[in-house]
Amino acid sequence: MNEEIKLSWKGKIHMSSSELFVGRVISKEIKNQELSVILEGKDLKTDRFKLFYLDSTDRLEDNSLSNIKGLNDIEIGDIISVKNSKIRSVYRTKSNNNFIFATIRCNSNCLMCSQPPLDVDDTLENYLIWNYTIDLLNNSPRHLTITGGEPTLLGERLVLLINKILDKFPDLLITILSNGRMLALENVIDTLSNIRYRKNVVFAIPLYSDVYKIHDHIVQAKDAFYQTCLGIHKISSLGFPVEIRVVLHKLSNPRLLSLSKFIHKNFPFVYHVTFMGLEIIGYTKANKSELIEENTTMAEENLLASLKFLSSWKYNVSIYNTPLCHIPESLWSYAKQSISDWKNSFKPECERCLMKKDCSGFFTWNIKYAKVKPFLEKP
Amino acid sequence: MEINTLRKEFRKFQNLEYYNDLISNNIKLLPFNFKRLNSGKELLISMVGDYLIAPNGTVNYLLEKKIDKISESLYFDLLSNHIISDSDDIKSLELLANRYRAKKTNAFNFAQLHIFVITLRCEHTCQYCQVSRVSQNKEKFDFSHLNLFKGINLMLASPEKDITMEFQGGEALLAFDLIKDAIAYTKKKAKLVNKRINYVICTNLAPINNEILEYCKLEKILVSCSLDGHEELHNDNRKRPGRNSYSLVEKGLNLSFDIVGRENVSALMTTTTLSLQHPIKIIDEYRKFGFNSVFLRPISPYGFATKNKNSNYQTVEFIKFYSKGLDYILELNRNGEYFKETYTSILLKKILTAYSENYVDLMSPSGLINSVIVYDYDGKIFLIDEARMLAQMKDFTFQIGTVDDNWETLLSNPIIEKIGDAGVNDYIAGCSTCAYNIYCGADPVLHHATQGDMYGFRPDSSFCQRNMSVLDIIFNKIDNEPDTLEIFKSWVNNE
Repeated sequence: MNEEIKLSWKGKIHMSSSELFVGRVISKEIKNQELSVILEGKDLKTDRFKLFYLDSTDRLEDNSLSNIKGLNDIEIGDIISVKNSKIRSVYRTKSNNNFIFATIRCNSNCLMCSQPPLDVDDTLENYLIWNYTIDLLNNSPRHLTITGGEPTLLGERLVLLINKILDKFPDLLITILSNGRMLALENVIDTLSNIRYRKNVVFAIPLYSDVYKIHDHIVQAKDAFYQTCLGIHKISSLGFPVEIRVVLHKLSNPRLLSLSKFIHKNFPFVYHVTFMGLEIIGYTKANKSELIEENTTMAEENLLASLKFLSSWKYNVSIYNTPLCHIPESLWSYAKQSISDWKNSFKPECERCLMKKDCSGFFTWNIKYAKVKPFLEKP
Repeated sequence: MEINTLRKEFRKFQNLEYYNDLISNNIKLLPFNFKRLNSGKELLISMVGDYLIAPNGTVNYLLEKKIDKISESLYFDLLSNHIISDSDDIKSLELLANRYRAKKTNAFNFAQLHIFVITLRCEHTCQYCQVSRVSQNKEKFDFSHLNLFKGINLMLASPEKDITMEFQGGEALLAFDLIKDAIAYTKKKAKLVNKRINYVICTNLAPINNEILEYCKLEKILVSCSLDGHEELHNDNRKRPGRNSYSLVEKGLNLSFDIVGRENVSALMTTTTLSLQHPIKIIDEYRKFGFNSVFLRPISPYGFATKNKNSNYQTVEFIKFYSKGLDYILELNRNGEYFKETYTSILLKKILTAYSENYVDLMSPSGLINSVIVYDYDGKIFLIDEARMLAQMKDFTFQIGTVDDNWETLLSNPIIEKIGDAGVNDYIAGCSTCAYNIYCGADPVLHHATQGDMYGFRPDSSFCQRNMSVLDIIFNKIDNEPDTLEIFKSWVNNE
């Protein structure tokens, strides 16, 4: 998909708009290039079932929002939430990359955060939305990511959501993107131990350096390194699979091999280590001079040495979010198509490239910074 | 606060220095040991076994807190290998505790290997053997059925779920019918207590035949045999009427490969004075039979063995033999043949990974009790196989009782407490400051036998001398030969 999939819209409020409505798209009609969508669901504040209307034109009706732009890619069966004038896409039936957005809060403030946190307590609202969304799902998602912010801030409610969806779809695999710091706390571990399907829930935890202060600086939080390390041990000892994620940039590149050795010695039980390209959005834009690597030769050599080291010890290793023309061919076998459909794009030149079908492409927001070298002959 | 004000608040980033715990040069040393390598570089090993090879002078700079003399990247390596800490409160303490527990995980187990000396009878008269009899007297030298079943009941009453039951001799197969009775009884009883039992028969292969091997195949029994080297050496070491031990092994091995499959057959060698000149021939003999490993194993230097001229050699001579053999094996690997030396591999697993290996001699706390139990043919229970040899010399120190006892009585034997003390090398003189402490063991039995004291005196301990030398060889190779490290890794990975 080359188009960016929209995740939220704004509309114009009419009388008696819902305070927090969640519903499934049951009809989508296009007349004279005007779009109207009907949702069937529930107002979570009053717990009353009702229909809700979304329109691209001006329409005066109860339970509706109008003058909405860009609704086109909504499909029948998708699940949408409405709060005041704001509409959010909660679940896409056709997507492989559905996610639970747990909270916008975070206890870290990473220099390269793509989704900068806010100190706003949205945990109850997000819980209520997904608690009902799970009721509305007819089929299991192919995979589900729980992201944020820091999802573990949801506490007990995170456990309730996970148990509820896995009770309904016991074969579903869930990845939780957590910074792992809360997992060092005994009471948080106690809470998470109530998850009934531990093998289905992967904790994907970032570690950016083997040296505490470099990691702490990158995530902008004191003692984060030690908390995350301990969190990895504790969550793994409960039986959850752990993946370690390393974002590649100027601050993490120099000690990449040392970090790989550190992982081997301290976390030999991890089932996957992923090296991820930088997303140039959010905070990264403000910290470009600190983050964007100039010494690409060193970075490439360190990445190669790290991948070789970890694979020689039989770890499952991958490169995420990095197009094939940005890495040497010797690393291609590690590169995965990893960018979620809603934020994945290619350059026009990429259409000519023979490797496009195997390539991760770009984050939509990276595209304007990106340079590509299309492969016109099979390498 | 308004969202935009909040956003601004969050965008005030701190610099690296803000996250630094180090106040001036006040570093804290975590428990680590060190020694100098041949190259002049220093080898530093942390309390959890992470090693670092650093330039000459590093330890001194650390002790004198002259950290300005240490490069930034080395400083970071010292932090990440748990050798130093930047702050007074050691923030990695719980992480280190987990690591230490993982390294010492064997200490939490009970014996998984239960050795039954099913008979003392043997048709060989090997030079180095002290615990066999050439005799037809089954009454006197075989396990009685009553004692055997009592021993099995004890084995099944022990706590581990997965147990290996190993039949030894003498020549175990001279009592093949008894082995069959033992396995039948064990199978019936093990089901009731929900335990999984693996069976091993140790044999010189002389009595092996189709019938025995078909039975081994049926019961999934592993066959472990003795192979000391090429024909001349093997026959010199392993005496037998007709001087045909080697040809019987050759025949027996091929028949075993055919019937139970290569993966279920292993071989073990013992190094005698006669072996010392032939490391390469011995290794080639193992290759000839298609084995991809050899355990260059010294003779246990006590009891009867030390009085025999062919068993009484100095550790230095053994190390020369080992070193020559290891170099040859590494050369084979460089030429593309996967072949490993088992003792080196056991040490390498401890050096190159976060885990350890269940090998009795190299465990601290000692592997006695938590690794092996031996049931002798006459119903005596010993803590280790070597204790049988001591018993032959009328030293019953490591006998904890008989099959008539229960575990409560057996484990309340005072020797157990003594071993708990003498079997931990962290605070034994000579071990506590040794660079290799975390990779090594304590071996109270050997020190009792050779020095009359379970704690032992390291400066002339053959155990200490051998392990120090082997580890020196390994680390000097890691330091000087980058391609050797890759071979070492492959040994740990393909086990």
